[in-house]
Amino acid sequence: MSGLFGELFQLGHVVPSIDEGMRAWDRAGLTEWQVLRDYPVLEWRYHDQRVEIPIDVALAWSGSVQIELIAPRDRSPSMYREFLDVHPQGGLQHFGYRPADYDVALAQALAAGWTWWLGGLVAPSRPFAYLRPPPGSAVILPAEISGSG
Amino acid sequence: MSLLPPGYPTEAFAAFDYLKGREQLSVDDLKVLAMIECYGEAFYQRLAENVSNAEAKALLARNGQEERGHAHRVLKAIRQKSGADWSLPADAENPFFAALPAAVTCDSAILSALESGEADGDLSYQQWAAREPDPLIADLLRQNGSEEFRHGERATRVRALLGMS
Repeated sequence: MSGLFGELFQLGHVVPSIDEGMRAWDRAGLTEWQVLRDYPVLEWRYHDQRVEIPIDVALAWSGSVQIELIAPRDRSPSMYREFLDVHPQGGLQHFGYRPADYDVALAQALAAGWTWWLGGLVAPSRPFAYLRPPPGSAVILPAEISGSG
Repeated sequence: MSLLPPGYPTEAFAAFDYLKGREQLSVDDLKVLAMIECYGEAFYQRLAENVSNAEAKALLARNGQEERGHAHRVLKAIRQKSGADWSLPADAENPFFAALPAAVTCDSAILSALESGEADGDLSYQQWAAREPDPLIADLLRQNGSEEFRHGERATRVRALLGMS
């Protein structure tokens, strides 16, 4: 996996409430959060549709691994909502990577059978994509890749 | 065309000093502040690149990531104050990036500057928040300030990790 996406840096969790999610992690000793409510994403694309997905985000670190919590703010259809429909308590939902070259990593992943689930632009020139693993593979969680610059 | 409104310094730290003189932040001030925060992210990334100690590198990277979060909060403040969305520019179009050093050496002098600069950043944010009539914007500014203070504490921790105490 690291050859395709680069180094793992993030464990992404989807939770029903950002405050409850942080409290749960606080009890596990993770207390230094950066909370970004109604996170301003420039452009969302869910499957092949342009959508709006209001979310709250909280970020903390365990060593060099980022713990990300994402809570949808409403019932808008999204990958996050799909996850919560199956796991109402929330939980680990994706692994996050920052490949050296986002476009190359995305093209290689798609060629290897990963499929686009959700993505877009956080800001101009800052793309992100959640990719579903190939069917039947041992990998069960999606990968999020992001680019910067 | 530069995204920097007329009259603002073209170097990020000088522009922040300029904003410190403001009683309240205007929409243009907030746009400049958001671009300074993006510069801050890149500056910390450059700094972290030259650090071999894994914990120190991670602390500097965290500061950088949180500077980007500050920019996002300022975007919300812009929307709240102006009633219109404004997007962060790509790094290549951010006017402050022209002066971004290709490499930043993590030495005692730069860590001292960060310790005092981040504490100063916290103070500035708290003062802007105290004078801001809109409670939502004030809250966003306060959150940024308290995290700037945390950045200074991390710079102190980096100093210890690198044996510069």
